Amino acid sequence: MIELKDIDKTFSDIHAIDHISGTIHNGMIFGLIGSNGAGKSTLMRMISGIVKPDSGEILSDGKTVYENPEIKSQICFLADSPYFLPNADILRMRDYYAMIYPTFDRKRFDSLVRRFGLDSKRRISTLSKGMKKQVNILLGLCSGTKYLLCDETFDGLDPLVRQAVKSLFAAEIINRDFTPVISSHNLRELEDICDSIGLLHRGKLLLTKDLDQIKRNICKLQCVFRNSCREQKLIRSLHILKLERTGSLLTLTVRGERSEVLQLAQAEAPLFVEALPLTLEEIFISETEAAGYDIKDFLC
Amino acid sequence: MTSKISCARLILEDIRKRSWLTALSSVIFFLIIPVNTMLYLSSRSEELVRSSSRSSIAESLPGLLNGDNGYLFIILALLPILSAMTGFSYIHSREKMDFYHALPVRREKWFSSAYLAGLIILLVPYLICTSLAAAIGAASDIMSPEAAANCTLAAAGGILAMFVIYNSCVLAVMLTGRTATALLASLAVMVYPLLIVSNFTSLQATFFKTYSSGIVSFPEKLALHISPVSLFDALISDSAGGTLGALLLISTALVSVLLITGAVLLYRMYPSEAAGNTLPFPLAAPIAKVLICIPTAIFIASMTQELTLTSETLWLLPLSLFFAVLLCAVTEFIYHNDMKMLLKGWRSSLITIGGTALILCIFQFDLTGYDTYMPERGEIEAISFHPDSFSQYFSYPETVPYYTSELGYFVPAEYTDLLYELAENGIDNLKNGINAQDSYSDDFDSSRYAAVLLQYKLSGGNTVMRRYAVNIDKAENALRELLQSEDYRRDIFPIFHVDRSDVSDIYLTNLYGQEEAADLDKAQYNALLDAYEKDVLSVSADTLIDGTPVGELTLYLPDPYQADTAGEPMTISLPMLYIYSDYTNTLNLLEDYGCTLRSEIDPQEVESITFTLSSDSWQNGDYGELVSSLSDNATVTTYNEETRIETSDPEDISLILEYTEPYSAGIMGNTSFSSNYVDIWYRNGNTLGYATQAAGEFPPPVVSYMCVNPVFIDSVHLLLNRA
Repeated sequence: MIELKDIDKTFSDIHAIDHISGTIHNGMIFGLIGSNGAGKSTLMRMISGIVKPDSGEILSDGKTVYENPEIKSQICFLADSPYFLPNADILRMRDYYAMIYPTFDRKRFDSLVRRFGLDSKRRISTLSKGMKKQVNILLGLCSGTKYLLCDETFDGLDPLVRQAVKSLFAAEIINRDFTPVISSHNLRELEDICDSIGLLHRGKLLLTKDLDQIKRNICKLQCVFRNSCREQKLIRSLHILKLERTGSLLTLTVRGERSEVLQLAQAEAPLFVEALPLTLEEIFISETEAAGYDIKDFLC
Repeated sequence: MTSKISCARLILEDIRKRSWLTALSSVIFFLIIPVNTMLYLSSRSEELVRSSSRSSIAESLPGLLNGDNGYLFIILALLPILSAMTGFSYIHSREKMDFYHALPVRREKWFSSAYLAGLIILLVPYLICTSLAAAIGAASDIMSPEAAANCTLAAAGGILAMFVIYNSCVLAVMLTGRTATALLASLAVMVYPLLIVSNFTSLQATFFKTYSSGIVSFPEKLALHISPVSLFDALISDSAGGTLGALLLISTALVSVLLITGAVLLYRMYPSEAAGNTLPFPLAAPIAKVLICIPTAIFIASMTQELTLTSETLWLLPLSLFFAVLLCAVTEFIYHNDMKMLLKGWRSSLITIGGTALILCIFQFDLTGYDTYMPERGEIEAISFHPDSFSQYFSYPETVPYYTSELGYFVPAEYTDLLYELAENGIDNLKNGINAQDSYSDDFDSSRYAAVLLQYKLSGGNTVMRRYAVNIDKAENALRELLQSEDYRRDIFPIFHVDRSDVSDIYLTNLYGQEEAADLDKAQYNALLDAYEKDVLSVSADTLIDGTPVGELTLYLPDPYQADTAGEPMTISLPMLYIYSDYTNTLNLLEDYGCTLRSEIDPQEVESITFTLSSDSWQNGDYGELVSSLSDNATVTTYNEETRIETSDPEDISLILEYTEPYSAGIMGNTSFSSNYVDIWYRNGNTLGYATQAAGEFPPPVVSYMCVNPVFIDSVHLLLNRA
């Protein structure tokens, strides 16, 4: 389990991480989402022990990560722009990782390289960006570490490879104690694969919950009222994140279980009412808007 | 499972990663050390057959191994820079830093592995190549055990020299966030102490009227021993010369420890976000700017003034301020890479400009009271006395250290008060605008004042040196007093510093030449030197100050620093052992040996005379009576503002010689110069004679403008055989 205890980090005048606390539980895929510059990469780099927090603690299985090789040997970080040794081919990188990570599975790596159709003797610098990412993911996956931190690693992969990687992750979770942490802007993708989500915004962790729980606790209510007093009464009774009106159609993004929200709405006798689940993208937009990050600001 | 990665494996990986550098250093070292040695020995193959030459060739071998001469010197400085930069440049790239620092390896281990790999890449090829060169030397039959030891020392010096530069650059990499800035930082780390001290001495020399550069001050010594670049130079030259001292080794070790410790500490705290920034620690940016810009601005201003030969100190302040502003702007540009941000660090820029102005004002207005400083009497253990004229009057053997021969000997304790008063006189004169710095200018009245260097040895162990313009009569009186001490005479007269067993030849020089060679045995020349010493101890101060020598002895001694191609030491002369007419012991002995020194020039032996007058003297008619007395045979020509009167008429020659006499400035150099002089051509083939002084009624005197002391026209090779 990775615990973030009130961690804080400032770069010059940029407050990159603002007193974040949270937990990443073992055995599930954790998705880290957030607006640009929200601090996702910084948080990943802090969890992997690259960046030292100004204050607070990052614990992995109860021990500090920073400058702790014992703990870091359980964490593999795959950066958004992977670095490979100069003039190295895939085999050289395999050997290097095998030297660094004692749990590295060479056989599996070789097998996966073949399955992904990569030429193990080809210099990595000659590979395409997507192929480099594939190599990077395979290296991380075969390192045998408990935690695999993927910083926008899926971006740039073709759909087939993406699907294959998802399957690999799933298989890995079944086979061993494995917890991938994935940051991405592609929320649909995370929605498919992640068990829990952390939402970062301007260095703050807005929420960290199981994806199902998040989805259960937020919904979109569409309704039409004849009586505006009843409409106002409903609005007052709900925890609304977002309110939109198109003609007489009122669309509300509401915090709360779908069935409960629907029940409350029906109690006010609307002409029409419907409670819909939100996609992760819609949740992201709603939550960040609620935190003051409004897409309309960009359009003004 | 815990990751336990051995440092050795990381080192091997690093070397593998930088295999191109290993190849490069191997090829360069191979070409410049063994191949160059082979070519050198081949070029001297004819000399190798002579055993006498082999030793001298063997002596040059250490220099071939560590770059004391040649391109290797530059390579030994450049390769460590390259190795340090390539080894640690990953911290200047976020991708690379993320990659390495995410791996389960402590930062100290990363540092150690990159550090050691860099050293191995440098040292292994170097050691192999120096061993190869030594083997080539051995194969050429020049490798004696002593030569082998010298070669080992030279190689060790080369290794240490590279080590110092390497450590400096590693620290510089840690101080910066970009490789280009790291190169600039390397330069700063390597030369900073020297820069500070050179500025300090340069400003002292520029502004302080009593400053003299003869003594190496403690800060200068310290700078030489803590500045990586001076350590590098000293390690190379001293190890090649077989004089690698313990002090240098200790300094190297201490500086290296400091540099490595600094680098490790900085690496441990090196922020990952620093990659790509100029400086990893933003708070240090203004401090670094101030610390670098102030001395650099002053240094560049001093250099500019020196290059443009501008002696006016007035320009130093505006020039320094201009360069301070310029450097601040350049530094801000380096920091931000944005022309619009040049004024961002305006506070530090103001501090830099203000600091530069303040430092220059401290020197310009002598706010520390340097010039008027006099140690308390009780503080002084001893004072040395050295008028400038001593440098022209005395010549010391090479075995006498420079700092005693050129800075003066400390006088016996009973004369301390005497010199203290002389110093006070110098300070009084300084307050009246008369200083020793002007002693070489035309405005300096050398008939009234003399430049004197005094050293105060203080009870705390320090030595302070000041150069004053003192009243010449006071200086002469002081010298008269001092010469009453036999100990002082034994100190200042060079004859007492000569090891007689080293003397290979003695020449006698007189007013003009007659080759009267006399072969003397060892006992005879010992007797001559005894007599000379006796005369030197008894000669009166007045003779030394006002008298004119009648001759001069020149001793020939082995050069302790240079040898000829056969390995024999070169000989160097020790001239200016003057003989006065009072030196009866010497003169009598010389007469016994058949050498009688003449006191006058025989007109019969003169072929012609050229009497040269300055345009002023000619136009003022200073010598009108003499010139009008000359015959029509005398030709008058004007050339380069000088008027030359040439004559070969015996009567003219007699007339001119009648009114000329030898000239000497004396031990205190207290005769004023004139630009009028006489050249004499003798019948016996001797070409030139000059340094004569017109007597009596022909004011002002005709004097040599070329020399203070008498220069005689020829030498008599007096002693040839030593045994």
